[in-house]
Amino acid sequence: MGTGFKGMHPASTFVFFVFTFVFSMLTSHPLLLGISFFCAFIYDVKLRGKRVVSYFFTALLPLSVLIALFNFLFSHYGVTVLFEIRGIDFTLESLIYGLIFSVKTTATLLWLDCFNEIVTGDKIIYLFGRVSPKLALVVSMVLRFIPLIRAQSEDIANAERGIGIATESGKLRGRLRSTARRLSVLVSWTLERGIDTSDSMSARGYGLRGRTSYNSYVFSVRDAAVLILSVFATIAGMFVNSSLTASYNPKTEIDLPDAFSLVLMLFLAFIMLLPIITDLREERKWSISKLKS
Amino acid sequence: MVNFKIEKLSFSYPGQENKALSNISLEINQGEFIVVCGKSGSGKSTLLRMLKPELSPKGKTEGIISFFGKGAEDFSLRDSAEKIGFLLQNTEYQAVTHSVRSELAFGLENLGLSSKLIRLRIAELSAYFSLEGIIDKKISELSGGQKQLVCLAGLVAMHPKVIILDEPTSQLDPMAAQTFLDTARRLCRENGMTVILTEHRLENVIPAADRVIVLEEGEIISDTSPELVSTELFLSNEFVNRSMPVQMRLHASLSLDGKAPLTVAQGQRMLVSLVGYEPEITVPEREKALCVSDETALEVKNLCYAYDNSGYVLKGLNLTVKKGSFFALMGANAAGKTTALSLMSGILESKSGKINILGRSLKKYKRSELYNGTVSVLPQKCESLFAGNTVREDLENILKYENKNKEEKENLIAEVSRFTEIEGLLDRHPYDISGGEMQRAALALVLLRNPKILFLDEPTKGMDNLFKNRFALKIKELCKRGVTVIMVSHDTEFCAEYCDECAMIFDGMCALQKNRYDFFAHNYFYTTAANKIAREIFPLAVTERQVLELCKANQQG
Repeated sequence: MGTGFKGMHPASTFVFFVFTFVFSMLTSHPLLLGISFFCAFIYDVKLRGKRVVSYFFTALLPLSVLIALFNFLFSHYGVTVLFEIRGIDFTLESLIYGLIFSVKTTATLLWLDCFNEIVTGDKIIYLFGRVSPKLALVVSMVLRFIPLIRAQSEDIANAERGIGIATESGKLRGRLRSTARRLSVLVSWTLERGIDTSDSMSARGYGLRGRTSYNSYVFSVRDAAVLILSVFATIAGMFVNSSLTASYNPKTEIDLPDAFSLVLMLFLAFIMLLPIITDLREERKWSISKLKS
Repeated sequence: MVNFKIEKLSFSYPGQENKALSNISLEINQGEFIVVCGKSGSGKSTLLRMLKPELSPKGKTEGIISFFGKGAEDFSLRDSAEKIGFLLQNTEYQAVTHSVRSELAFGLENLGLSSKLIRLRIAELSAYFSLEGIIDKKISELSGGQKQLVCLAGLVAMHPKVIILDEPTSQLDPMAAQTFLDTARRLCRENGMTVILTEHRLENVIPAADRVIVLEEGEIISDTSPELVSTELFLSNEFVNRSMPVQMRLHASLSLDGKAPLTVAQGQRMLVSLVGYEPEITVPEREKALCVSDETALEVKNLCYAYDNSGYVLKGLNLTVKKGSFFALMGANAAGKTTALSLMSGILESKSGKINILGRSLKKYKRSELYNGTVSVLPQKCESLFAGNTVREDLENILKYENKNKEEKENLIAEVSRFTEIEGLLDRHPYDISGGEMQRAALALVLLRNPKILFLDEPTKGMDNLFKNRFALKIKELCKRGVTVIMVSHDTEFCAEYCDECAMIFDGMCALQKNRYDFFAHNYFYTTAANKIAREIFPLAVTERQVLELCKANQQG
């Protein structure tokens, strides 16, 4: 089952992550995004250790740069023109919004990484298995396949290299083609393996009426508190988001927080740090009890 | 109790003329251990899937199957889930949840057992399968053998009457395979479960079986006890001839009377009764390695490697491989064989140690140069190589950037497909062909690059003995042309029979590198079945042929 935040009731952890996703996706205010990004990053590091750092630098950072660059090159709104090439204006606003958008994406992906670690497939099935077996199946399958696809993608890259059809340097066109090929392998592989997994599920009676659950999660006061706080945080997040203007078109306008929104922000930060606080407290409890015994 | 009764069953897949199963009649009783065997593509998997309604293939079906005395219509999905457990061929994806504990609980939850009862069953299972140490691990952290056992435990948890295993050990190393089969056998003997399994490697399975069913082109050609299969079919059927355990094949080739010996111990007794304890001739003849030159193809010095902080996998590996030789790298699971292969072929890079390929440092090769005609790698999971809609498309893709006209390319493809026997598969989708066929198609892909050094990672996994033999001859042919073949393998029988040299990795170093005869003759566990049988009498005989020849020589003299 797990301890700390992971050991909490699936409903509470699920709602918590819904809050983080909604919040990170809706807000465009740099301060709010910064909080979200920071909390997601440290919690992911807490959960998955060093791997997160390499995931950040090899996947997330390049993706962010790409997003920002694309926005800068292809969106031309805004009034502050930085330079002009062949009559096309390259604006400060599109640059800033590109950066904001990439932070937003990164934060969401980091939260997704944490989500994957905490709300595992069996919890999804626990939550939705009786309401909608098919939906639960699809969701849990997607979750289970994320790490598998990651590993498979590496395997394919190595396999291609070993028979000399990997294009790692040289012309952009060749590299794009090579990436497209790899993607197509991954897609057919995933579909094929998905069939295996769903075969295995139906062979073991998934979808029969009257499914029970082995994990008897008890919904404690603590779980209720996290659930309610997460709901409140979602509302608070929306409120702060609407009261603080952050607009990048046509001109960059970012409100500084007043006292009230500052308090709300602290509250939001506290909620987002809740998982890591729970985990650390649990760890301390056990290390102290070890010392005493 | 009769589990299954099949009468005159025929089946063909949609859009295909020839029947995958034809005219099958069969009765399977409670508590039998049945091995279904046959060449790849003979309809084994199809037959097994017919026995599990949820997985039965769609197509044209004739004939009747009844399950536990009920017709197919009356046998509900709940009945099927409760009574019949099915382990899929690709067990990598049999596991549906992320952790061992929830995997064991999954089927029971579906059946609607109370959480208390599930807890009890899991406790019982983990004692029976010795899962205590891994019960809280993630599925992805397990070794292949552990994963397989957990999947089996997940089926057994539901207390089925029958378990059906589709090639359960083809991806496992010999030790793990043996553990798995022993467990299946115990379930049958001690709990009366019916076990039905298919397998390519029959050496270990046959002695455990009560009944062996041999399929050929969708028809049952033999359905009898294991002792009698080899006597019945040894001469007439090449597949059976090639696949039986060594002791049974010796029995048949020496045309002895009586029941064939099933176990190694029985084989030893047979040999003693044949030539006595101290025969005159005990030193076997050795086949010379024909094609090995004095030139060095690959030299590895002091190679070290570590993933993350988890300690060194390789701690100073030294190897020398001669040009034109067929070289096997052996060792236990997780000994670093595949890591060594990746390093030697340049897929991984090491910070310390030297690797020379054809007299040049590996670091001095450009990628494009290295993989276009110098080195090619056949990975273990060869499905990673395929991306096209047909096998042909993938083969063409390899030649895409080569300076050849269309006709030349077509000739090359035709030649390589003849060589690997995949002519009939060229227009099929790579994912629709069987494991053994895919292995051959992958070999074709790799060979199109025309490498000077060919690296193979566990190529004989999932091959039947019949094809293994032809495969070895093909590798030998490549060696004759001067190609050096370096293989990572668990397959002791194969290495002893065909490799020029073998090396064993242990503790990150090369523990032993010798020619195949000396390599195996002094091992006690890590050796061939032929050697185990003949050890007391002919200690230096390693291959079946050697034992056979010594027997004949002593009988004549």
